Amino acid sequence: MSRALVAAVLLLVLVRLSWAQSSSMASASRLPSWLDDWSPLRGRGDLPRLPPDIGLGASTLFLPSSRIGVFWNAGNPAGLVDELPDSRSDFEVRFARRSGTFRRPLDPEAATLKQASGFGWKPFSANFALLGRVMLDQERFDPGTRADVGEPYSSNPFTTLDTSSTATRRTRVRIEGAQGVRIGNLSAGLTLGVETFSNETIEAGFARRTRFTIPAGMFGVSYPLGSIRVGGSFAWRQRAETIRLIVIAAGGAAVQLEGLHEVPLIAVPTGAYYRRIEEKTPTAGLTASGSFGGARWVLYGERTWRRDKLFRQEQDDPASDRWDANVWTAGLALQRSLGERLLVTVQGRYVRLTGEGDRALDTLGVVFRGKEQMVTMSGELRTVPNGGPWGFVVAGRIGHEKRDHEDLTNTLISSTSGLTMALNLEAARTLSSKVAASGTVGFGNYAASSRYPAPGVLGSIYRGVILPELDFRSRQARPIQAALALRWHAGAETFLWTVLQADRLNALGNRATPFGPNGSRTTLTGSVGLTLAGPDR
Amino acid sequence: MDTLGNPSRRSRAVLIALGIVSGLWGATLWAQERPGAILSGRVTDEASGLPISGALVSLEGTSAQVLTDESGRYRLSKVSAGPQVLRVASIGYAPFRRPITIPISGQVTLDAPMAKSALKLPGIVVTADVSSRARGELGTASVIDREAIRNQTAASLAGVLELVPGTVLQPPGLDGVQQFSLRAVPIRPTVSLSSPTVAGPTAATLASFGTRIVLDGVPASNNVNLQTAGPRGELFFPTAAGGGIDLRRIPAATIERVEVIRGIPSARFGDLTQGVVLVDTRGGAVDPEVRLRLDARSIEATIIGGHRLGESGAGSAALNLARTRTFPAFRDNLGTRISAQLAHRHEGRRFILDTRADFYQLLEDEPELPSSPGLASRSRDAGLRLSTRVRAELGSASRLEWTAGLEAARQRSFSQSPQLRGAMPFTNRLTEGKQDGRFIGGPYLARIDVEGDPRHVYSRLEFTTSAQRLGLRHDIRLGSELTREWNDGPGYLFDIEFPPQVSFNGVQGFDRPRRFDSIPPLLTSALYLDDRVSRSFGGNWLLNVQAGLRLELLHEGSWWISGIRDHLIEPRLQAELGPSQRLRFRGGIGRFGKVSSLSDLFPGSQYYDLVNFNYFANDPAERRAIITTRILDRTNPDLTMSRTDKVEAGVELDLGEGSQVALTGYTERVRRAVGIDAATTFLIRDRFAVDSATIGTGRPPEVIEPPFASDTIPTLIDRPANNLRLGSRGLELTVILPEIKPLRTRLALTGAWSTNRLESSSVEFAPHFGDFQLLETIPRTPYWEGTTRKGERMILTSRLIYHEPGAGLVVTGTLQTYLREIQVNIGSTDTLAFAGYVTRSGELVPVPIERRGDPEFADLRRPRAGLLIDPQQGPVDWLFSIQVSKSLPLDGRLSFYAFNTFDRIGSYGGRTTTARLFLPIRFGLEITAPLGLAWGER
Repeated sequence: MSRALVAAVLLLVLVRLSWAQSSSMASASRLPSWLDDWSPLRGRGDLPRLPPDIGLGASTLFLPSSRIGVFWNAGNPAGLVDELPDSRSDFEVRFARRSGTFRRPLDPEAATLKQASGFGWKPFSANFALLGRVMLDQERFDPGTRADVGEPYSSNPFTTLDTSSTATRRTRVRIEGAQGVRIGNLSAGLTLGVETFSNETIEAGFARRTRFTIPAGMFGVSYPLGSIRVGGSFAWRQRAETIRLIVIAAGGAAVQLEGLHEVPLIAVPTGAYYRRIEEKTPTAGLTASGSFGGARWVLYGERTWRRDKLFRQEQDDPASDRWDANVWTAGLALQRSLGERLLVTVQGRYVRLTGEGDRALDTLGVVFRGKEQMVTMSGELRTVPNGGPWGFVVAGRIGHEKRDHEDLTNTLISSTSGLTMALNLEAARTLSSKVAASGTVGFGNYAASSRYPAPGVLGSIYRGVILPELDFRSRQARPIQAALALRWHAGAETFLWTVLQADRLNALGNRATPFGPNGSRTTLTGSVGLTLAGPDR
Repeated sequence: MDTLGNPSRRSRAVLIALGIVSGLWGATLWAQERPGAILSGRVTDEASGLPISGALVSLEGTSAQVLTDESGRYRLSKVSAGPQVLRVASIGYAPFRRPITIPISGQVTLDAPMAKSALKLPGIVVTADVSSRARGELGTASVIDREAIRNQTAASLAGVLELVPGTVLQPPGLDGVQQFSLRAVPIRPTVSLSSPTVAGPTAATLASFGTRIVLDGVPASNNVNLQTAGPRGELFFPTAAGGGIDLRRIPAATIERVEVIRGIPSARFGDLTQGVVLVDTRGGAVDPEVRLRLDARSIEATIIGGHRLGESGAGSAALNLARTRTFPAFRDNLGTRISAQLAHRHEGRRFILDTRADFYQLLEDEPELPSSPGLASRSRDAGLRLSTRVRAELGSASRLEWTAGLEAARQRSFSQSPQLRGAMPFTNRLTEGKQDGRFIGGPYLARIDVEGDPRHVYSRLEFTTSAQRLGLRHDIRLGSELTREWNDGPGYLFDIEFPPQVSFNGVQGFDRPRRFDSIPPLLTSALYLDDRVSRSFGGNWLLNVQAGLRLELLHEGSWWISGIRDHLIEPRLQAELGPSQRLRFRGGIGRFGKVSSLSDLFPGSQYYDLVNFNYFANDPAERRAIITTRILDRTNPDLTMSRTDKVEAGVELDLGEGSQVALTGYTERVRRAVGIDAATTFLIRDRFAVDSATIGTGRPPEVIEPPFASDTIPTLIDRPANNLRLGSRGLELTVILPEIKPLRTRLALTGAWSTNRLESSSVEFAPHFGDFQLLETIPRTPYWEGTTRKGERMILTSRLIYHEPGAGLVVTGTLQTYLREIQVNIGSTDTLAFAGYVTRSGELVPVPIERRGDPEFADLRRPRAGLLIDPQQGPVDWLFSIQVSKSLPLDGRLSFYAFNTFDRIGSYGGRTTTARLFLPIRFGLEITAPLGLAWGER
């Protein structure tokens, strides 16, 4: 019965999903999701509205085979000692450029990225393992984005933007690591991370300086109960984001979105505009893992409480707008070898968010309600290295998301429902004893249905900022990607590699309103890297 | 000079000194010599376990050193008891450094596993060392070794010094002038902001001016830095003048070791009030490496390397480039640094010759922007410093050392700002006398250029010997110092018609252009004698005593033989008593002198343009003004060195396994520190009548001589004076707890409670003093006694250090907690608070307190304006920063740092009255790549 269930799952859902990431190009990783999901900095408590993409990684045959586990899938560091069988270090320098017209109002018109990163893990003994990652990047938006906050399309409806669109320089550093220990049958672990970000306009008459910092950590334990290993975890993440608008040579205005209704412009004639957002997000989670019928499985569930306070005064206990979101997450992962040559991996995740927004300076109570849910399943069938010249991966993903937003001040609602399907094909071949090459192509389709206020119902803020994004989300779109990678075996455990990747998002069909975006958006990425230790081939 | 003319004080000082020296010799009589212990061990490669031969094993602060044999073994005999620091160095390996407590006798074994990356060595020390001492010193010190410096992610020496207890954390970068104020709370001598009195230096400025910075054995001085816009200047540019040197010129990446003597420095060190910072830059056969640091505002690159040059020499070179955008997105200010060093060492049979050349350039540029036309400033400091040190061995026990340094700097500052002034008569006269003025007014672009070329020549000759006296071993130092400092710059330059000062009315006095190269030099010399005795007695008891005398001379004229302007005899005594191997009590007392800066010894004159006659007609052709220029000398011939008396006591407890506790209490009194005294005097102004027949004729009026009247104008001269007293008391605590081995974590705490009391003996005047000057109808105006201001600060800095040697990983979380911060002005603001009045002839007439309520003083009874006497208390708050360092392949290192990780914005809290606004977050990466290994040299 159970075997049949597993087989049914394998057949029905060949999917996989990347966790919600920031809409910044710097965060758009070419790595598969299991290399990101463990991060304590992951935005639990939020479902940012991202543009449709393939979301299955590229050139993954030069990476280790997909891994599942309570650490890799749920982030519980107690699993680290069991789930790190090898040592590996990767260093990468990445350059990317994104441009195109199919974008939302708060996306930058054009962006260039320079990024350096390092990622490594090592089991020091059977009872102790470490993993860490560091990343430094700088993005230049020219022309820049009007968004003042780092993630303008988060679930939180209180978004600040301004009238400046001059070039912007955004610098970000991220460091995170995990440590796992085993004491008898008990495994325990700790992950810690910090991400800091600075965003500054360049030579602007109306200057913007934004910064945020996110410290985060997770503590987890696991213990065997019979053949099943159960675990628990507690994660903490907080964010402090500060926005300053400074008048130098020209005045400007800020806009504080509060949902769907029209909001007034806040003039910044002299002096400075100040806005601070403080987020506190605790998460409690349960995990279980084991083996059954030759397959390894992982189940996990999380409850997240996100509490945002947004205020405009630089002092203690100011009146603050509030965004309270409660999130349930459940997920599963399965992995099984099919013979000696094939490995199949299936993952699924369901996230449900309900949130309420409350303004500081009125007595109306809750002014905005959001209900969002996302279910994603992905699957991957890949060859494992056995000395042969060829390798391949077939991966697919199905994702469905539904977002219902209710603006209670004017009784306005919006509802969007989107379905993403994507398929990736990758093949790799050794060209000589030292050189190997890989090629990836991916296709996807995004289709949506939606309901939101007509353009004429509201004013210019709605038509200029809110409506185009709703149109964007309602539009059928087709993400495609292609990547080429070359790897050189430079030494015993040293590999040099390069990846060239192109991603494109094309709008299909007609716009629902004249205010929506059209055309396409292209991202070109080039990476060079160094890998130490023996990767799977 | 009052010190020369005060035999009782001089005699007392000499008696104290003699008492100390005789006490020292007497103390040795009852002590009994014991043989030292033997320290031995084996030096091995940490990865392979193979022995390392030829490694240099030494004890810090002593001359004891030995090379390991073929099996990696070493043996040091007659090692002094008490806490010592073993240091092992070998080419290709990170230095090994480990504190160890030595018994009075017997044998101790300490093996030294060495790794190519220090991060892979167990027991790494990334904090200032509690138990170590500066070389040849007994005073309380914070010793910061190379590994701690590398872990500190600092841009300059200022960042390294954050490991000293009580130092406020700052983000790494070149933001603003960086000075080191030891044991000082930043309080000002006056807060009467509306008073015409020019404010003097803050306690922090005094402390940084009085902290001696010694670079590779040669003091770096800021005594002849004249880069200011003048006491009444209204334009500003970044400057270190008045305080200590700008520490941005010393890149942290090129520092090998820093010793901060917080307590009583020995007689070897003079010209200071607070303490000494000894900086050794990297030199010799340094493994070549490149270091790159990047964050959102800064970029810094360093390349350094050295090589053996034949059998007896070694040379090294370092280049550091750094840039910080200080106000990004706002004014695009840039701070840049270029720093380069060359070092050479020659080791002869009986001498060692060290030669160094050090170049730096600091540029702080605030360019003019289209959004704010006319507003700009720039400061460019560049300097070349050559130093040499010869150490000649004279037999087995004696050594002669000559240290010389020559520094030439070029300082160029300018500031410009749009100004607006009303119509006024003007003269550009540079000498005293009377002439017709002309009328000017309206908007103008004020600009000032200050161009100084400081020069510094330094020489020290020191004889060191070890001798047996009364059965005891004495380490004796006898030395002399000569210093000559002067400024060769073109000086203080501006167009007189467009002065950097707009709010002047002719009677408040202001500056005129002045050449610096006409200012006499600042000459000092010193003689010192120092003896250190170390003995054990009574079983496990151990006594260390260091006593010395220093004679500090301030000369007049151009050369040392020209005469003596001031002198001070400075006795120093330090003692250390160890009842057991793990416990030490320490104490010290000493006197220190600090010479005044060149700008205080030879201030520029103050100019007054008195308007004798002023006729401003509608027709410009009919206007006429007659102005008399008077020049008053601001020089104070009685200006002397400041005197500081310091007393400190402390206890240190070694708990084993690197765990230590140290507590130090101190009290310091700086007397006769230099502030600005608003001296009162008066000027006589002639008043002229005119022939009114010219009115309406298109000609200016004719002046009728002689003057029909004269009046007196009370004036204030900003005269440097020894009018400040700075008292400091405090406690410093350092606790390094044992490592929690399962968690590989150690906690280190440093805390400092310090109080400052800054008193001024000058008087202060009412805000409307300008009216009093110009209106003859006001016969007198009140004055008040100088303000006393107290500041108190308690800071606790906790460092949580996680070290995983296997991964070469060190994570340091630093939490700085402001437990208490308060500033308060002591004084009265009521109507009876005035101390007296000043007459129109500039005479100060005190009024006894019992008479201040009399009817005749009714015009003087007014509340004192501008003085806040409510305590200004900041809230308890905290700041957190994190650093992560990881060894990389090829022996590189990757470090990450985030300053103010939680982006605390501070708070206005509870009963506190002032806000605490923290600095913004600063985050970035630092990558170090050794070139030697990458090139396969090893």
